[in-house]
Amino acid sequence: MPVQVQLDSLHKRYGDVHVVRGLSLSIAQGEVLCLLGPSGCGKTTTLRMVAGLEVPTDGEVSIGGERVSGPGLFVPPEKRRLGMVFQSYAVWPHRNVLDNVAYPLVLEGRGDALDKARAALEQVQLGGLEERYPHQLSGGQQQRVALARALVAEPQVLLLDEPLSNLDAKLREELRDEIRALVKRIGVTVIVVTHDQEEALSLSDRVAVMNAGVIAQVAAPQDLYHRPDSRFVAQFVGKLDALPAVALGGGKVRVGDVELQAHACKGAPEQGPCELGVRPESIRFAERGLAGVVQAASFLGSHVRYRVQGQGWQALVDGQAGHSLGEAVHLRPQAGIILGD
Amino acid sequence: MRVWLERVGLGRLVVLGLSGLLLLVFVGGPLGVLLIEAIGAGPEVWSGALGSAVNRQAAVHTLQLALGTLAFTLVLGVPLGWLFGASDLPKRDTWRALCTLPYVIPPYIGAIAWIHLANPSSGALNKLFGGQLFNIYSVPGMVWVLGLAFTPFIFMAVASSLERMDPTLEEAARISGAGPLRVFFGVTLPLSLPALASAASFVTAASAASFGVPYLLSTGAAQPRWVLTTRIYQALDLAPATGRPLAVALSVGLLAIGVGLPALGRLLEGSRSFTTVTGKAARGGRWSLGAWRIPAQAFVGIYATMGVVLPLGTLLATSLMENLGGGLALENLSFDNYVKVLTGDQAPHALFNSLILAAGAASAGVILGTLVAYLRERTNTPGRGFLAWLAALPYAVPGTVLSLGFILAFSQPISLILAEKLRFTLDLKDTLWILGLAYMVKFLAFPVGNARSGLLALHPSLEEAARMSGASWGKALRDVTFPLLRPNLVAAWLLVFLPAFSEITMSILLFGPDTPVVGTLLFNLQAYGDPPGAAVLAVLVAALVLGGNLLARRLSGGKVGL
Repeated sequence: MPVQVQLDSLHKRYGDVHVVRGLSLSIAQGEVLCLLGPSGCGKTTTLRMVAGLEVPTDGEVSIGGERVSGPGLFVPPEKRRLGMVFQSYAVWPHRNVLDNVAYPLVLEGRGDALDKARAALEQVQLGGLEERYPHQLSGGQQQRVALARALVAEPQVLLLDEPLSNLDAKLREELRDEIRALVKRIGVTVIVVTHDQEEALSLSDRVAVMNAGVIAQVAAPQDLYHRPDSRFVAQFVGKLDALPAVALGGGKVRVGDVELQAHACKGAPEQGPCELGVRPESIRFAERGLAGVVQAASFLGSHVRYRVQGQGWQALVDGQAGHSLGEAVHLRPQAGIILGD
Repeated sequence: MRVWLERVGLGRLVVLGLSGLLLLVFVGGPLGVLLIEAIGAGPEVWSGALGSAVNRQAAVHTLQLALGTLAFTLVLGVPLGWLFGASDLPKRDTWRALCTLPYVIPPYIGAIAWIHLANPSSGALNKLFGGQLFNIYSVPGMVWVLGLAFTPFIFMAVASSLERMDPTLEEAARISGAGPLRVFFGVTLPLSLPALASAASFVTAASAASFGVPYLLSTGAAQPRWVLTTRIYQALDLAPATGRPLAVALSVGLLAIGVGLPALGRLLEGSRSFTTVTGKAARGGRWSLGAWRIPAQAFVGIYATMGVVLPLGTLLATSLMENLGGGLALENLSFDNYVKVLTGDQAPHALFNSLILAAGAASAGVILGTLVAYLRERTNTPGRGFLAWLAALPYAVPGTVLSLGFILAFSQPISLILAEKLRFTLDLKDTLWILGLAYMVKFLAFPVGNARSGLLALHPSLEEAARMSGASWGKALRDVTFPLLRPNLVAAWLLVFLPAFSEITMSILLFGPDTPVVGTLLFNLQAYGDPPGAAVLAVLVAALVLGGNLLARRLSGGKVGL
């Protein structure tokens, strides 16, 4: 796949604050890439530099093989042929739905602007609402209008800034799947910014985890979850508890009297005492194993999440109902991650 | 350089740069020149100014006028505010609308009316009671007229802060065991103090800076009571060139009182700013007046009579009288005065000038103000905070002082020679331009403030979405930002247009032989022997201002105007 968006050692400083610190990343054509990170990690700033809404302090941005920002060059946002959905949707309250969506085409001076806008509205299942004004729409509908407006002019790249964060949980899941299906059908390249890891993992082909202005790891969701490069990524993506363990070499590790094969982070000790990161769903209750006491239990519908306290550790464990508070239990990790520094 | 231009955008740079430049020249210029003159004034200027008993008396009168008006408006305005905002006064919306009228009518209109009512020799009230009971040509007379005019500022502040106060604050005090009176004095009143304090400092500043009322109430007097604004006018009027140093010295005194006094008040009031006043009109219960509703209505009625009905009725009657001494007999009433004024050559000219000037100043002010607000809220241009401050500054400067700055800065032609054949000459003396610019500068604070609050309420992503859709900066402004700001900008336009149309304080110093405006003509007629003509103009001004407000209110669905 040809590279669609290329970021080369991108920097952004606001006065003394260094928000993005030498970020490099390539995004393939048709790929859905997610920038994931805690707030303040520079993910939104990076997206806005791709958009042309922020001017990089240093570094280069290329879109579709053409440099749009770099030393001696800055292409303004309106000339980059991008589509963008903002966190606040930014649907213009003084224009009706159709005029909102048709605007990018009207600017191009196309005669078929309204027809194309109607087609785009059909695509996001808003057919029939053309004459409505934004204040007559629900949050989810406004979101769809913003999406249709961003896609109507067939942009090279679609930028989504926290697209689902203002919606309630149920709608969020529904729209997430719909967006994924839609962008895959069109084949547009997508960059999504989110702080919601579930959104990132389910929406994208690859996830770039950002921390303090740099990329900590770029990988497919599965790899990111099971084979993180660093303790930061392991702990940021998914739930993870650290258990005291001993590395035996070759990825083998012993926890209590349990031995298992684990993925090792970069910088993890080859042999000797170490910490084993385990996720709630990969620990089981057993007859023998790590001894602990049930401290808390939360019923989550499909399963119960227990908090088990041992000597010098505690862990979340997903299991079935049946254990009571204060009960002495034994745990067996099924898989884990040997954590580095 | 090229890249930098591309990043900022050429159009954006030119437009925003130009607005900054205009601001520096037409706000910074006059105030800066005035400041330089004041600093450069030698000891002989100061001793000349301070040595004269008339000047010292003028300073004392200004102080009396400012503090007297403040006291008058507080005594009337606080109870009125409570009655409108927190009591169950019957028909309070009607009363309130009536009592708010003085808010939009220029105070000098009231002065003209009260001259007819209470001048010592032939005032209608003096004749009625047979004797010289009232003398409007006095400092108490000025306080009376200004106080009636400014009372709405106080009661509006009090009433709206009482109405908009979060009722849970009072409820929390009730739950904690406080009785109703204790809640009022312990919670309600202290919480509305900041709003009251800012209205009070406005009244103090506006009274010290007022020109029209003290001028009208001095010119016809046997013993005129000069204040600083009228003394500055005299200094410049009697000796246009040599009077300037004296005018500058008096301006410093006026600034000390008109700006210093309110600032002192704010300082004493300290950092008591509460952010508890919410936007919701959510007052729960109102105080029951019980048997007090009769005296309360009488109190409101007296204010409405003195502040609105009596003066406006007097003007209307005067404007219709064929013979001033003839009384209110039907055969003495006709529209002859109106015909005479409107078919003469003076009034149509002045009305036309005022309309053009007010509309021009409002339009230019809204454009410049919006750009300054944009510069302040949407860019990180260095100095944007200073420019926004500069744009709001002239409103705080007394009009007399501001126009003195305009005279000092622009009364001679200014030539800017860039090259042999490239020269610009700015010659504003006695032109409509200097009046229009002065109006725009004086009231620029309204468009800047309105546009800023509009921009703050608009998420930047609305404009960014237009950029991402392919619109240039200018196109995004035209298609998205400006249309969304329109209600704020329409309001700002009227807030400049209405006071500019009837402006007198600056006009009287800046108008020329060919550029009379409504205010200056009205003063001429009143001062030089055509009171019925003046009454006609006053009625027309009042009607236009009230009509304009009603129109604004209608157009904006109640958001703009009274």
